[in-house]
Amino acid sequence: MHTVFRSVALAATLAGLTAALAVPAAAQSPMQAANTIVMAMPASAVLDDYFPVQNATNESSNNLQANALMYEPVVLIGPKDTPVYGRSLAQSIVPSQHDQVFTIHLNPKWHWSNGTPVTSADVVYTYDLMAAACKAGAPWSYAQCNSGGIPNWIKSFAAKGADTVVVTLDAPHNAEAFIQNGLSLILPVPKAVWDKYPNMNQELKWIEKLSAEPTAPQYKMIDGPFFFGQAVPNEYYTFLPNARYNGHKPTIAKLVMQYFASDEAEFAALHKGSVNVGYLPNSLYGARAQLNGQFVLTPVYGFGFTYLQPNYNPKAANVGPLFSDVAVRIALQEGIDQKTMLKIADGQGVLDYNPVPPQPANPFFDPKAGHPVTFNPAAGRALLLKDGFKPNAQGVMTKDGRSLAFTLIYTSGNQTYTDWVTLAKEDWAKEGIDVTVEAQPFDTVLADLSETPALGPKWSMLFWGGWGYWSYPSGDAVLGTGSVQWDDYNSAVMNRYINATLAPGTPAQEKAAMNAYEAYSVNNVPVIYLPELPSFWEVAPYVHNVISTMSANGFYYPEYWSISK
Amino acid sequence: MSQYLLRRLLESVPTFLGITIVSFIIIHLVPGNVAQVFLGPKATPFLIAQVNHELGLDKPLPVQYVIWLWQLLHGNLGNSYFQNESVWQLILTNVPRTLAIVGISVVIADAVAIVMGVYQAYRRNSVLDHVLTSIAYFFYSMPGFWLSIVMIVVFSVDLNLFPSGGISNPLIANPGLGSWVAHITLPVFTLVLWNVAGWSRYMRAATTEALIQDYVRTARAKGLGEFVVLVRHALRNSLLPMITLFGFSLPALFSGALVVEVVFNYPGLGLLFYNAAIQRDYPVVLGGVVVIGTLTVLGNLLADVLYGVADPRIQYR
Repeated sequence: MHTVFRSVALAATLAGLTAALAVPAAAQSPMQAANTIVMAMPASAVLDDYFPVQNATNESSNNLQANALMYEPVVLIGPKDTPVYGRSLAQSIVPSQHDQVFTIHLNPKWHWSNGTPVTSADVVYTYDLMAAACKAGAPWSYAQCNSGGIPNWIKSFAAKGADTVVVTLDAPHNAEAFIQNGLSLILPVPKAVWDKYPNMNQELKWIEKLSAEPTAPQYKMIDGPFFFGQAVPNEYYTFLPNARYNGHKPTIAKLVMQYFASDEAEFAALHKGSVNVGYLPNSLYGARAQLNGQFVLTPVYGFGFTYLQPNYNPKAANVGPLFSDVAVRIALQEGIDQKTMLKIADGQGVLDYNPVPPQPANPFFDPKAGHPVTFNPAAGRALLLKDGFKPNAQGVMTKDGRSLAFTLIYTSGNQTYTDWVTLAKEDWAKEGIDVTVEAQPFDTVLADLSETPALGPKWSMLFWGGWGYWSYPSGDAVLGTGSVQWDDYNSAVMNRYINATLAPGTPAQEKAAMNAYEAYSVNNVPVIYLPELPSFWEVAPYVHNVISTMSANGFYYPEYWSISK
Repeated sequence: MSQYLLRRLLESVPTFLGITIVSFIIIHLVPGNVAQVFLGPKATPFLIAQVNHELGLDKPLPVQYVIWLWQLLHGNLGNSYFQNESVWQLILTNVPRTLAIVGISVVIADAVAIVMGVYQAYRRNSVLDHVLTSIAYFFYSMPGFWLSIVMIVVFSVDLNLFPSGGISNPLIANPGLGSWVAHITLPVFTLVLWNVAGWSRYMRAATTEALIQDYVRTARAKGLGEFVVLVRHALRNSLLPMITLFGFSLPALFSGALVVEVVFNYPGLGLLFYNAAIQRDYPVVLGGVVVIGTLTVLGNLLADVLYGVADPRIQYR
């Protein structure tokens, strides 16, 4: 009897220990029970500027997202990269006088959280702040100065009644560009709580002090779907629903934006199940099977394009003048095997030979532009020979004493990119182009970008990712003369095509101009095009409407998200 | 002793200044425009010039250093370029976090290493000595990031015993001590395993050396018990190398916790300074130099003082 009792006790103990050590069966997660979204922020990302006229030194996509949670834009850009006036402060924008005057009619439904209406005075005040912060001598600079013509196209920006704003431009401009790249930047703040000083510089200094203080009373008056809740630095930021929001009211109880020090830490949290919306780091794409069953993996394309950036500066390590030769650029593009690059990326991504990307879906991409310059190293070599290049003793193509030998600096930390540049190096070698690849941290690559041209830049070709558009994919900021690309690319022909995309016209004329710009770009190869890769979102199966409600330019809208029990 | 301490502190001032000058020069030697890094790939020349002016980066380097030093003497380390917060505030926020995991792990690792080292010296070449040596070498040779990941996979994901990282659970409104302990257990455990592996070897060697000294033979000859011989005689003299190790390891521990901080999502000083170096956040980097430099000086001073405590033969004038 004693022996039986001991055996039973032993068996029960063992069973209890096994149960205690075993992974518990799937149950409702604490986040589900709390109706809370815990969302992973990108590694090392912080929120440090909550005022929607962003200081250039603080601007980040995370700060912009926080602004979008708290404030409504004049024009909201939707999932198909078009304005969605039903969700914007403006219910309509009427261009007139050949697209030189724009009349913004505000939707009277929008109110601040204290019940007072959002008026034209608020819109004008916010624009005045943006314009003031773009002037030399301002205490700080607005991050998006001259984007979409704000404020460099603006002759006057005035209220006409409580619900109307009349914007007069200095000359007729493309309406889509102005509305989608310019007016959509404006997230008005309530003039009544922010307008403190008559002197704009004083006002900007005061605002700067409050920009990182989201608990300041001024932030209690918002018109967006979420109030700021709490910030625990380097831990998390919380946002709470605005019960008086005039748009689609949030159904979640809380949004938590969780800080992560590294991609690995974020992946561990996904695996543990302590976040319910996150991202799959590119470096850990191979480990995605570990999250099967816990999350739904969805690729999401950013609205931009990826490319290698040649340096056209004549002093760029002796190879700058060679890049000005379109035959060289075509040969370089013919050494890029985009299909194999996609295989390296596990088939995730799309071929892209155009500065206007095919994904995400947008009304600007012209499939007829095609891809006339595709992978063909033999053709590339033949083209160089025809262009007057001859292989030197080392087999490197040389013309007029200059050899096609240069260093390609690329961003370290992404194995896919490392494999891509290695593949390009091998294929270019078949054409007689000798490339040395050098990995550098992203910030170092950025720092290389603006090496003073007069001193002789130290870089010949850079790969730091690519260019992202706000909404209207005009090429002025990326391929126009004097663009921010720092590559000294200067083509009068390209400028004509770009200027045509920024000129006013009928919708058909504007579309034709965009198509012509794309056709020229795919043939002229001002940059060396690479495939577009998506980012990967991991969303718990009980969280809904996350991806379907994202805008084309990457903003997400948690007021549409829901949690099922 | 107080004169000695005062003299040492005064002597450390030129050392400290030298460290700041060299660090200032080195970080500004890194190529590239910090304003470009700051503003990202879409920066325009106008914005870059504006930012350079706002941050005082358009001034000559010696002028920038003097301005920084003048502000330092007034207790101002400046503002982080990237985090829109004062450097002091960032350091003060992160110091307790790193201090917690480093401090706790040092105390535990020291205690375990001392016991292990003394036992292994006393029972050297026994089976357990060899087993403990093998374990020590195993953990000593293990990359820190790998050990951290193994801890997460085993104890957090598979056994569901601890959180995978962070400091607190955002779902809990007022997390108490229990939540904090749960969050730091794995990072502390990882640091303990790392440090015990190396320190126990030092302790074993030092104790082995002490056990063959004449004073130990004399103590035994006097009829003292083995425990008294070990603890009151051999151990005290064996601690001298450990004290040196402790003093020198303090700054390394603070920065070495970086790997643990990255993998366990534990935002502390190591991660702060690493990100600042990568981003060219000069004020934070220099703030780090001040902190680490001060710790180094104080660590050495502490080691010297503890020498005097451990060994009465050592006198300071």
